[in-house]
Amino acid sequence: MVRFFDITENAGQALIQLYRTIIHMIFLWSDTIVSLLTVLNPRFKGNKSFKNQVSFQVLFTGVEAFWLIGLIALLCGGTVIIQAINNMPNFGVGEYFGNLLKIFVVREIGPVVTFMIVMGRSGTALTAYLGNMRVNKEITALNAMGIEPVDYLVMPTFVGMTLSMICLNFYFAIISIFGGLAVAEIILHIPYLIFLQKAFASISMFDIFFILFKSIISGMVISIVSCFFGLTVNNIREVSMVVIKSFVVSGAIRIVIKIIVVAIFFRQLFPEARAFFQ
Amino acid sequence: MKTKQSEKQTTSPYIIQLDQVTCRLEKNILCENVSFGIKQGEHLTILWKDGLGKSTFMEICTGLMKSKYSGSVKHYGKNIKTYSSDMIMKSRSRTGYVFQNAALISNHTVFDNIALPLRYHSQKSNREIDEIVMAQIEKYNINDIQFLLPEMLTTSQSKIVAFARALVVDPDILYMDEPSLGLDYESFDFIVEQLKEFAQKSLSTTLLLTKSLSLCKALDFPIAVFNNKKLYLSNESKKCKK
Repeated sequence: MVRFFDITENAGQALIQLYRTIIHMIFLWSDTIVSLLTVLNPRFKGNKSFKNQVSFQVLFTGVEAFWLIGLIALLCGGTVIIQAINNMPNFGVGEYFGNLLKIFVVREIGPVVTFMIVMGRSGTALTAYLGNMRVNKEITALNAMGIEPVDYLVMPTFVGMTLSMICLNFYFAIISIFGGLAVAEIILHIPYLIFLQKAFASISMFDIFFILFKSIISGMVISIVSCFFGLTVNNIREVSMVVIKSFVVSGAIRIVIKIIVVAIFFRQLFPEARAFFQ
Repeated sequence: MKTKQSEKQTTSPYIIQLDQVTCRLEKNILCENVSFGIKQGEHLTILWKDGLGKSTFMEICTGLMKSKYSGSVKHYGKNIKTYSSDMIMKSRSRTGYVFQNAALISNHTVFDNIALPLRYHSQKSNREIDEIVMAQIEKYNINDIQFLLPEMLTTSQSKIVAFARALVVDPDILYMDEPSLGLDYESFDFIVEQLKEFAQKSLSTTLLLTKSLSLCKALDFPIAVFNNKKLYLSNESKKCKK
């Protein structure tokens, strides 16, 4: 029998839990920023492992995902470009080829695909790793040695993952345009240089800053959410659950941030659409 | 750090002091009204049966656990609940802790594990730190395993590395939670020797929780016995049913 009190109680508890999770995540993020600013202070001489930890994270997140991201960028770029070259002239919008490439591949597919790959590959691994560290009392050992886990584990991960995301996003954009056009030339024998010129002519400084901004946000979201869920593990059974949670929550947070950003910068992002609707 | 600690010490003779500590974990009572103090240069062994919350009690004593208990835990005469997190972390930089499961960082080699507290806290250069760590590795005869990851070590080797890591900072206080668990005879004798050497230093303080009578006998520190959720100090040991 359904009891309305149970439903409301459960809903209330879930809301309180959500509120706590959001607050704790914001605190973890702010602690990480404070820790980063402390390490960047030239007078600070502690935490000598910082550079090693960051390079380990860049190696794991960025360098090891290099071939996978490259292959997917090539396939995505090739598919979109072939479809565009074949279909756009039918609608009489062939001259917007460069803009389509910019909006579709560089601004949207690139950051989303990179986010998904890094989150699925590195974010989940990071959550499981930190969860296991909690279970094996390694985090307690760090605390016992006077080492703040945020300084030693979260902040280097945050920096390493953000740097990796920036590099991977630009790498995706370049491979998808150059590689995609190369694939299109092999299949359709298009004038490569003309299309390349069209593609690059449409990309502005705003797009570059936009990719940079998206990369930083994605890197921050993946690292903070993964570390947060990893550090909340209490026993070994929870590890697999928090891995799934971290994947879903980071995806959700990224979508929310994207909606907010699009709502705020709609005029700058889509000037043609704005003009059309007015 | 030492000067700060000596300043604090003038206010209280005890480095660690527990006053009427009662700990309840869910419905189980771990300990009831436990009170004791350890002065600088003193050592204490607490005999405690397996599965009755030794590690949790050690976490209470060290200040790693700040909630879930009543009473007060004082370090250098000050309640640890009133310490700021910075103060706690600084005081722990001069503390050694040997865990029951060694708790070595799993993606760090033996060398990096031993160097970890120095790299984080010390103002020394990397070269100086490497020299200190190498000296420690030679002292503990673990040259051949220094580049191995913890997963490749035996239990005895992990424990020895945990000791080397705890003592590399030259701590004022050494906490040990079941340090002899999983040690072979040779390693046991070696660790006892190292602990005796540490205990001979005039300002060193040790708190040891164990179930091993052989370790108690070998170290010859004052013994307290934990029984029926109460702690019986050496002068009250007759009260304790053996």
